[in-house]
Amino acid sequence: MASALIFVIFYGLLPLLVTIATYAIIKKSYSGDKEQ
Amino acid sequence: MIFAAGVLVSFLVYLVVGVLVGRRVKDQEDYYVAGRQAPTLLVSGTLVASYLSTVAFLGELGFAYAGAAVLFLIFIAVNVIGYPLGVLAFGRYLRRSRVLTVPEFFGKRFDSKALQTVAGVTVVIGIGAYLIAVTQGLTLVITDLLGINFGIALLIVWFSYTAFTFYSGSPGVLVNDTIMFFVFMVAGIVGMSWIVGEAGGPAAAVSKLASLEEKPGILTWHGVVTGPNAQFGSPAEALVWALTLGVVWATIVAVSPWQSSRYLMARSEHVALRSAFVATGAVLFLYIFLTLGGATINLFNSSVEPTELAFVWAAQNVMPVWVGVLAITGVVAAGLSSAAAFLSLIGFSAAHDIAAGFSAVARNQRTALRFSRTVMLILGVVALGLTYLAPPAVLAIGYFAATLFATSWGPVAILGIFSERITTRGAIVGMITGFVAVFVLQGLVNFAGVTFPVWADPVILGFCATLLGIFVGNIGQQPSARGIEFRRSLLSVPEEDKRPDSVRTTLRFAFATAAVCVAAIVMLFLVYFLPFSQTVAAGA
Repeated sequence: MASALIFVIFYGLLPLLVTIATYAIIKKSYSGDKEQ
Repeated sequence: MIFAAGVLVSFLVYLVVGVLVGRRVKDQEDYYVAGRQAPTLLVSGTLVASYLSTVAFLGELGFAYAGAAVLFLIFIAVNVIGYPLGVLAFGRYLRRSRVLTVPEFFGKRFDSKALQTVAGVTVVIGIGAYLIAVTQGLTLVITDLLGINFGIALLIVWFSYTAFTFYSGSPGVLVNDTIMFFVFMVAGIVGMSWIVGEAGGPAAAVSKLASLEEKPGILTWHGVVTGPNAQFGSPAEALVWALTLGVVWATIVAVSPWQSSRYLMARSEHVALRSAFVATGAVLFLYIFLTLGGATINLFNSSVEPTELAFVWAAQNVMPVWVGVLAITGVVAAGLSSAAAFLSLIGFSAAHDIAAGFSAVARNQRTALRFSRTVMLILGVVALGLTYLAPPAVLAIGYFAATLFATSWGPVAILGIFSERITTRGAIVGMITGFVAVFVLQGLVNFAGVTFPVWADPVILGFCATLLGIFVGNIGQQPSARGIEFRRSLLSVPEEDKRPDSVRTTLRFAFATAAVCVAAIVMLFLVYFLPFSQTVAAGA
């Protein structure tokens, strides 16, 4: 049962974490600083 | 008959839309990249529509039906992160370069017409194979619906996407893709919801599937790994498959020509970013329905053959007529939208990247548009002939073609943005080596039955071959100064994209996508985990 629950969390969590990271990068990159 | 009528009416609608939009095409920039004026709705629509094809509604849904529904969602979770990561690492730089095709980007980045030609050839071969797979899938559906022979069905399918694509180019593909996006999203969600409803609702369906004797373990995370319907030898093998293919497809949505080229049409960088977020949410959400619904078809008939026709069978035998017509129209829309995008990309590359490299024909601006259209039509006819001759294998050919780009383009594209150390020869050798390695090795797997150990999957070997090719090609050569200058010109965010209101709107899209991710967890918990765990506990 634990494996099914891990899957359920993994399905949404992985894209969620990447989306949050992307959010942070966009917020920083488009604030006027030059990108590296 | 009503199914056939519904599909034929949708063909006519796409044709009329294509002709209307095509009349506004005036020059190559209109034809290739829709004048770089596309809003978020259209770029999102074409991103998802180019990604989802008959491979999804027939091949992948058939795979879920055959016994690996949940496993397929593990693959999708990794796959979708290619959208936000891809637009950040490649898509936005590609858009800033203002090229007409992705191979042209490689040519400019490494200051090499030869590389542009090489990339163009890979587009024609790789996407050509994918186009054949998608057209086969569509023809399979039409043959089944109309009861006509394969050749006639193929002609109908071919004409329905070639006519508007050849005439209207990217604008027609963009608008029709978006219409088709809505059609297949609604079809997938409504069609699958209906099937689950007919099975007694999510809880009852999951409970019955958990104890399905024909396909034991269909709802476990690894799918069916025992008995005659086993798809993998063990859970570990299944997991490695899902994660490896997930990374491959994440790379594909990040750099493949049929995905990244959509950003070239965006009217601003924020449109590109927002579209990537919309695509992430849409794919994540839709596949819950496609996979769990696909598995549920087993409760009505667990022996549909080929499994690729499971959804079509359900549309005709489980759903009421109006839902069935919608479902079939959706399947056809998913296939047509990809076929149109693929044909346009092949035509663009042949005319702009390959022919321009060998002759002066495309340099003549007066005839360039006519030339592009003619090349696309010729290639369309070639694709028609090859589809007629090729053996039907929708999922196998589709995945085969897709992996070619992940391995041969992925490292060159990403390293080309983040490093100045790759030389022109390194990029050319790397791209060719990776392409040939996967073409041969994956070809042996798919068409000659050769098996490799999990740690030496052709995709992994292909990535290694590309990196090795870059390394060997780099020896004894300095990176091109013009290539480096081009790269540096892409690094600054355009001033017009720093407006706070634009940034705020883009961040709202990110927030909404995060909400979809959370909703996906809650939804799976309620419709899958709770009933599944209760059934297993009751059985134990």
